[in-house]
Amino acid sequence: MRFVAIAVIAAVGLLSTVLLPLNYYVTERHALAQQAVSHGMPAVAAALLSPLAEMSDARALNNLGVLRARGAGGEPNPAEARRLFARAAEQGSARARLNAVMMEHGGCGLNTDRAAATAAALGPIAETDPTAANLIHDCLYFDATSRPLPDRSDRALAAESTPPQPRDANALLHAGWAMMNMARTTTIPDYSDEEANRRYEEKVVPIARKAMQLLFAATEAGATAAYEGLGILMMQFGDKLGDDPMAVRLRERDNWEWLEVGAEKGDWAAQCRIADARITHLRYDGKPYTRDEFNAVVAYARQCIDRKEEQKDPAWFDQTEWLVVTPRYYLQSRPTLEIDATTGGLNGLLFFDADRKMSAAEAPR
Amino acid sequence: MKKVLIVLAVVVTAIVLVSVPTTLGGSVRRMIAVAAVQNNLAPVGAWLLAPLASAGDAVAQNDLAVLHMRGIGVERDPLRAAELLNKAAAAGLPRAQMNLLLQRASCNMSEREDTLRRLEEFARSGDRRAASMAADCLSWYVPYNNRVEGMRRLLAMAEIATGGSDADEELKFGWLLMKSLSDLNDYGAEGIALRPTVATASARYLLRAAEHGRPAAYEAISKLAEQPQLLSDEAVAQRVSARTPAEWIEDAAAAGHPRSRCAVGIKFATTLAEKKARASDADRQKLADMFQTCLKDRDPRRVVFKDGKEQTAGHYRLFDVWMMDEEFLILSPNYDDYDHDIVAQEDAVRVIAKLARDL
Repeated sequence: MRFVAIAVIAAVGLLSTVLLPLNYYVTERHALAQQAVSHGMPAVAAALLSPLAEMSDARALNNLGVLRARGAGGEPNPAEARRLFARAAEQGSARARLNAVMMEHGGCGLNTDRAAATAAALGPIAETDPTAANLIHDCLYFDATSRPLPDRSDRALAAESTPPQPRDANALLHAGWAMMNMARTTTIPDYSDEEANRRYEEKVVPIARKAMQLLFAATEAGATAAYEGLGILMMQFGDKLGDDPMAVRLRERDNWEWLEVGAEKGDWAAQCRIADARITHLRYDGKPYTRDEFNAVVAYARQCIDRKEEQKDPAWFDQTEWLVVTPRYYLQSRPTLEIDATTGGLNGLLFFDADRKMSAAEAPR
Repeated sequence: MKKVLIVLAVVVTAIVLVSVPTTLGGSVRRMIAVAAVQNNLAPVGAWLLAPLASAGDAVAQNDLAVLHMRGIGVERDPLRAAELLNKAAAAGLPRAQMNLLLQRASCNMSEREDTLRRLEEFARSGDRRAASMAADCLSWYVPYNNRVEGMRRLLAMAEIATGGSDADEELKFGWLLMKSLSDLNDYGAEGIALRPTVATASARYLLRAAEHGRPAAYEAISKLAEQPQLLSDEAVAQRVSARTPAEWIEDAAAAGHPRSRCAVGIKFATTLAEKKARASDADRQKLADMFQTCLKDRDPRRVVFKDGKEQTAGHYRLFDVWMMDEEFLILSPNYDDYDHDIVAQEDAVRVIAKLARDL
């Protein structure tokens, strides 16, 4: 029923927009195209965008190019997509330049030579399109990209040095974790080699500091998974990040305390991990516990297990200008593995507690 | 067809049993309940077990407890499971006592030496699954300075676990003992002196597993064939030395062992490529068959993300060991995968595909 209603609205909208001169209601036409795509009607979106593209509307050219590149609503047409991106780029669309690069070089997968080439080509675009910075992080994920790009870490830092506009929570979280992972995976030299250690710190401290800034920004934007990242950063680099207020704030909590903040703010995976730790503590420490303590642990575990919300994962058509390839955002949706672990742990705790009570009742007095 | 008949028989018998008093035909009811669980009708099994458990039948209490603990066929209810298992254990049912032990103190806890000792007691009393689980404990957590003693205990458990000619246990212990051989080198004269006993026991179990249709056994025998001087029994040594290690691998491949089919496939493709002439249609077909098994046969236990959740790639027969006896197990023994090696498979597929281009 809902689908029919949407189809009717789309058809009416389509008709009325077709009947009106093209330079009227351009924003509304774009909004309608976005709705059409999000409801699985890319052919309707293409029909709405095509006349705007003919008028050289940069956004329409880019979005139509994405539909052609992805084959949404028909067969993929890379040649047509490239032509549309080139026209959009001529009109000043940085996003179209980004999409053209991704089409030319491909995504950033296991082929590290190709990933390095994509990262290099995206570098200049990151100054105007923040999504390029996230794609650069994906491309530079593997240390093996250092072979074709010896300045790999400088490039990652450069992508983050000129943030062109405010970024959403997912983008900040993704960039923060990427920088933190880059710092964590940098090889630590032998402790006796002072020169190598100096070079290591020179390289790793700016990356870790950038990770800290991005993760704090992500927490402010509402990305609760960023707290876990802050904990890891504190544990591994806390003593290296200087004495400015942000670094001091990072050191105010240890790894576990940051995870607890994340859980308190609603990070589902953190809630499950903390529940698991509390279950282990009760079950295996071998110490007596009160009924209130037991009930509190069970209730906390239930919060993790019974939580029902399903968060929407980012899609390629979420932003006003669509993407041929989306960055590999850290998805905040259902943490299946953590929930399974907590379910198993709680099951064991409930058995253990019941069994203990029965054993105590049967023990000779 | 056979499966349909079993299911029909289970359902009809269950209906008949409902119409007679619970106290009648307890052992038949239990048998039907176990058959129901084994044939994917766990709710029927639980439904038949519940009145028996209430009437004080210890086996039914044990089995229903396991179903409640696993949440299969009935609501997951650890409290009810604890209650039933305690009752069955108090009634003196050894399997229930073992299940309670495993639930209270598994082998990865600090009390593992006590758990292991008690599992060995259950095994010596005739519980083959207990022997298999004691072996898991021994192979995971042997104290560093007690390896030789641990190996003797492992040999004793192997005797018990394989007593019923269970091919999976034969394969498990054959591989386990074969892989432990190298460890004994680090434990002085006593360790070295024990190697022939371990190697011979391993060969015996592997030869039996091969006879019982486990192709992975041939691959392990090929490793023993590399050092036949270790085998202390002449008859066993003769059987193992009758073929070269490469020939044992070929036997494994011929019997359908995926990992060996990858190895033999590479070797065959290399030989054909070296001839620098077009391969015959028969050879090309043989290579294609090897390639297909190597490419497609994957560990069913591999975790994949499907339909929005984590699950295994397929069903693994040994997942169901817990329900194979009349008295269910709360945990299953561990059975390693000796058929697949995902990294070796992917490498082999690449190499074979590259060579096949020139054939």
